Amino acid sequence: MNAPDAAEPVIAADNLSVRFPVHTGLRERLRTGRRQLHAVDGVSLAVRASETVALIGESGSGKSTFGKALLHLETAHAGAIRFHGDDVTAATGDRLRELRRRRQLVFQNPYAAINRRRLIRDVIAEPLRYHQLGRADDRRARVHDLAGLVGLSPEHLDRYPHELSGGQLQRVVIARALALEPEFLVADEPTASLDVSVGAQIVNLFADMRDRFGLALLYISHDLPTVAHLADRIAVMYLGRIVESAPAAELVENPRHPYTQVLLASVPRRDPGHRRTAPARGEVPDAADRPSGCHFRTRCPLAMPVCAEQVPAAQVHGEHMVACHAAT
Amino acid sequence: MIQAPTKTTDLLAVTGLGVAYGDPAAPVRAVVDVDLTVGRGESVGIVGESGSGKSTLLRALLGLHGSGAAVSGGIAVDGVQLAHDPAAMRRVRGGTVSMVFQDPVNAFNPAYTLGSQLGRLVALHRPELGREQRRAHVAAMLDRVGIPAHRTRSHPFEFSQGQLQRCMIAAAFLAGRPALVLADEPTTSLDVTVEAQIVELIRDLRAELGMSMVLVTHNLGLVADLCDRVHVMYAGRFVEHTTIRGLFDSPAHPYTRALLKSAPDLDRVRESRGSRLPTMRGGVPDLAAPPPGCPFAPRCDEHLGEVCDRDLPELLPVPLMPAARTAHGTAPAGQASDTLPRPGDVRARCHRHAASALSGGTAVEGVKA
Ligand SMILES: Nc1ncnc2c1ncn2[C@@H]1O[C@H](COP(=O)(O)OP(=O)(O)OP(=O)(O)O)[C@@H](O)[C@H]1O
Ligand SMILES: Nc1ncnc2c1ncn2[C@@H]1O[C@H](COP(=O)(O)OP(=O)(O)OP(=O)(O)O)[C@@H](O)[C@H]1O
Ligand code: SF4
Ligand SMILES: [Mg+2]
Ligand SMILES: [Mg+2]
Repeated sequence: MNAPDAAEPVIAADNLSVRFPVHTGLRERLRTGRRQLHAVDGVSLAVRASETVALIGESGSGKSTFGKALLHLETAHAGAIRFHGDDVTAATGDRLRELRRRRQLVFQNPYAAINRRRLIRDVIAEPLRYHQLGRADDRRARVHDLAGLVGLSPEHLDRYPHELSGGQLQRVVIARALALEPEFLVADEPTASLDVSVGAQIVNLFADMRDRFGLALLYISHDLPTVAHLADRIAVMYLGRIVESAPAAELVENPRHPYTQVLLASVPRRDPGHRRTAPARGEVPDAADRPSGCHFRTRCPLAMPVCAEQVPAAQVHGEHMVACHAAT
Repeated sequence: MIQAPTKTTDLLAVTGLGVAYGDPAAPVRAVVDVDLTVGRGESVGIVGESGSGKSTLLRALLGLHGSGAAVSGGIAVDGVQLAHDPAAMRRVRGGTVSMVFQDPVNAFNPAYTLGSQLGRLVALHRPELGREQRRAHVAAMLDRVGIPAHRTRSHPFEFSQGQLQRCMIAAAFLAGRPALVLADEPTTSLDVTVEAQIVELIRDLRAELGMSMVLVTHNLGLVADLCDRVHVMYAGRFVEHTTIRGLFDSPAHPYTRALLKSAPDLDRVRESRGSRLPTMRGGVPDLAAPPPGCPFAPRCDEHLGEVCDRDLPELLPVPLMPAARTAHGTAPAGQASDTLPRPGDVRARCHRHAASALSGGTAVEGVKA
């Protein structure tokens, strides 16, 4: 893999939106018309070579949908996707196939991403075969290397998916995604089903790929300590929008959006003086029926009248972006 | 074998449980000689390395281990032996004992809406409810886990992973009236704020209904929040049994100590960035051909030499250690975490402790955390 121009993002989303239909009863549909769920609502985000951008946010806030849309695995309703500067939003055919090789996804749910009737070694070799890379014995050796990288043993390769533990299967999905040495990888909660020591091994592996091969990584996770350790930048998503983004250490030390502040305060710390504070008050709003103005206002301790009326604009201070009426 | 005295009132009493997969000539011994008791209203955590047998253990407790697995040992719920009685097992499953599965996607049928699947569960466990009441119950269940009621019309694929996980939590905890919930990594897809809501829900249910729980998780913060005591599993065996405070303040087994060291710390972000996280060298042993001695010996930093490679250590009581603050700090301030271990509470499967127990010395003298 050659290191491309460092300034040009490997991948960039401009105002990307994804919507899903909402199932409503007939009576409601007659009254209010068809409703839509705005899973991703005008998100812009870029990842450069050798850079890790982390996406964090509440369950259901649209992180996986955004990651999949970036890889053409979910249809974007509006907005553009650029790969090395080229608009690839409407790519099809050979172009899409080439993009598939250069961009990979570690699925959030390993069970959903794997053909159950295949041996593990064939699951890992799948992309190599699909893109017709290497001879059969090269592929075999490569599968062994990949298994070793993610901490699987040779005896796991001749089993079927249901004969592995959840964490072992998660590592199979990671090995498969790395098989083609992608330039851009979306890793969706890659360590959620791993214990901390195996998780640390995987995080180190991503860091190696980034430093040695210039991998551009979008790392979706709710594990804040790991994200703060690994990522260069962190973007925080809430009900389809990015509400804050900043260099990792800056975001952790100086969170400016009230939601980010709540999120950080809820992380268990080892510092004996630290108490986990209560979660944000109030109900998580319905993604199909988001509050007007700032979507966080119904749970926000700082909410003011203007928060219900206007969508807060992105304020940029250096590398720190925040969208909140109370932030100055 | 030393064992906590089994009171007749224990809700769950597991003795000498073993689960082996595959070829009987060279079985994968995923669970070996496990003893586990859970009292009424008690919550017990199980932590351990990926592949150490935690899910296998939970599934075997409900007879869900599949035809390829051989199970041995005893499983009693409410004093009734279930181990070799499939009919009794079926009566308990989903009723007295319910389960949150590790994989939320396969736990639901992709062809039906969530509302109809939850409705069927409620009908099974609360036959007294009429159609409308049942629908209201399903809506109330979803509300308690933060899912809007109109989502009952959605199919599983239309949910985010964390939403589906919450639906499963609702199904296991709220559809019937279980006395014991077996929860396998129930919050892996939840961010910290939603997780905190689930923690509150589980605490409330335990307080309201005196529900018991076995919680499998790699999230040590969750263990601190929800459990009274914890077992550490490695290569199919329990290698440590301790209190929550004991786990964080004075972990007894070298594996537990190494595990606690691997987690990144939000308060030390600037120092740790750019470096690599500490990991354990090597990997788990092949469960079909485990080494003869201590299963952790090939990776152990505190290895004692020949004895560790040759003899399997027993699970023995660890003499109480001074509540030393170890390198990784202290227990997160939680509810259950404030009890110090009492004599006999802490047991470990490690030759270091066997040696110090015999000589009567303080256990972890000379052990660097
Ligand atoms: N059907 C099977 N046949 C053979 N081996 C199996 C089978 N199912 C599981 N195993 C093996 O048994 C061991 C225990 O698996 P189990 O799923 O119980 O682990 P776990 O502790 O739950 O791990 P995780 O934290 O990754 O979910 C693993 O090493 C796994 O590879
Ligand atoms: N295929 C679909 N059809 C309809 N709605 C969907 C579909 N996929 C996702 N959604 C909805 O879109 C929203 C965003 O889902 P997404 O999976 O992107 O969330 P997430 O941030 O990844 O959450 P989690 O952390 O729980 O995985 C959710 O409200 C979800 O229910
Ligand atoms: S028995 Fe020996 S090898 Fe095993 S954990 Fe103890 S010191 Fe380490
Ligand atoms: Mg997701
Ligand atoms: Mg498991």
